[in-house]
Amino acid sequence: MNLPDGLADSRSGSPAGPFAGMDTRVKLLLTLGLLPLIISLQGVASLVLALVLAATLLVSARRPTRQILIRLAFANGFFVFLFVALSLTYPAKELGAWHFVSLDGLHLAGRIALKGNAMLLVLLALVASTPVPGLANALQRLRVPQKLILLLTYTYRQVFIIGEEMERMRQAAAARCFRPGLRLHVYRTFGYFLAQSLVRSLDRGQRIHDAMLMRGFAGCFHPLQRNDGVAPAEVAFGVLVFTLGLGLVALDRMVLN
Amino acid sequence: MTSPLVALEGASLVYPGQSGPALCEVDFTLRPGEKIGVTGDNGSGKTSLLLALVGLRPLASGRLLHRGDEVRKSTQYHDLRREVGLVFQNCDDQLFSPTVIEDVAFGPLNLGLSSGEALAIASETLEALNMGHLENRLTHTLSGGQKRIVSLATALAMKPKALLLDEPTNDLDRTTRAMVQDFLHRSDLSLVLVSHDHDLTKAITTRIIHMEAGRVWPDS
Ligand SMILES: Nc1ncnc2c1ncn2[C@@H]1O[C@H](COP(=O)(O)OP(=O)(O)OP(=O)(O)O)[C@@H](O)[C@H]1O
Ligand SMILES: [Mg+2]
Repeated sequence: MNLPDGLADSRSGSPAGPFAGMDTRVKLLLTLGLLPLIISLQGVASLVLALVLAATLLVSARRPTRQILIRLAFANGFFVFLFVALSLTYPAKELGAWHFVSLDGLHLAGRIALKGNAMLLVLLALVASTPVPGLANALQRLRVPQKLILLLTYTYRQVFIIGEEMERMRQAAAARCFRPGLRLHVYRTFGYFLAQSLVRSLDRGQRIHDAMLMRGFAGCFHPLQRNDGVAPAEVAFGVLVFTLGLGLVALDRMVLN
Repeated sequence: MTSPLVALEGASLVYPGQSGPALCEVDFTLRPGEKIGVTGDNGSGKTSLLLALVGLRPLASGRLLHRGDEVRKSTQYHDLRREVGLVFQNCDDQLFSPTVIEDVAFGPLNLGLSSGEALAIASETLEALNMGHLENRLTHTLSGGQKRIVSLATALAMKPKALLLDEPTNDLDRTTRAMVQDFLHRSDLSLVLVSHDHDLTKAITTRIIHMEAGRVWPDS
């Protein structure tokens, strides 16, 4: 399954790339710092520079190429839609050579796409290189509320169980010669899959609660704290990249004025 | 005779929406050091018996006793479950944390131990079951048999006095099954072992009971 980030890393043994071993708190804080900076950029030139900076981060993160391309393709599918919609509907001072195309709309869509891609690349480089358990650990040490973190970790585990269950149902159906197609029988079967997985999830919720009670759970979660410090080099790297981001914003403002 | 660790007296259990009871006026006693095997056909009520013994399903009638006292209040349930552990029939119910070590440490943390102590107990328990190498694995990447052993570890890490095991050797290969058998045989835990594996039950338990349609019979 392609869903939770960092999975590819954790499956293929030890994580690759320089960011994989980096302290997750630094990566999270850097991401939280960079995203608003990118959002605030206005000019096309500075947006392109931001995209280049983000791409550099991603390339040096050495993430699996195929996986990254698939995710980018998904996101950019949405941007294609945006280009079409805005070029046809955005009020324009200027019309293109074809009279129905709004150049202002195209311009706006272009900026949104650049911004979106730059942000996505930053997330893919810094956050997606961390397996979810590590992410949870870092969030905990950044004092994010326990309940939210547990929601993340238990959901992470359950997503796989539900995924496996769906897969088993699909295989069970396939073993009995079920083939998808445009027939009522097929729609009904998919309906059953969905309903079954919902019913089973409810049931499982109860049983997991049982399992937690059996191990002394009394309504309060106690996090596992593991102490590994942040290396000065990691902090320096974070500060450097953030400063580059600030530089971009300054450049952007100068060009605009 | 020593007083029972946990007991059911005339216990009946009915699942919502079911017409017949899953347990029907069951009397059952587990004393310290006792190892009881439970056999019976599918649907005869073995899992329900284990759930009732730790108070995870409310009884329609009858009483649940922990060291001679009826269990009613939530603190009493807590104390009972501290002493009597349960390993579920389905490992995916037992293992809910993203990594193996976090799952095994979950119980010790709830007992008020520090992170360091909980981690040490978790490692030690996994090591005792020859599963030390799985510590940092993501739970969903384990094989069925590995999940089964880790499930056992999660219950053992609570350092219980008794263990209720629901088909603990399903999905295990011969070597691992022999390891589990040996471990349970040597341990001084009280056991209730539900299993279709007759050799295992015979080898480990001191007494075998048989279940049929929610009722308990001594094995003939
Ligand atoms: N959650 C539930 N809701 C309704 N009925 C249930 C539920 N769980 C079990 N039952 C019913 O209760 C009866 C006893 O079930 P139980 O799971 O205790 O059997 P078992 O002896 O453990 O069977 P197996 O060997 O297949 O595990 C069965 O008739 C079953 O259909
Ligand atoms: Mg059962």
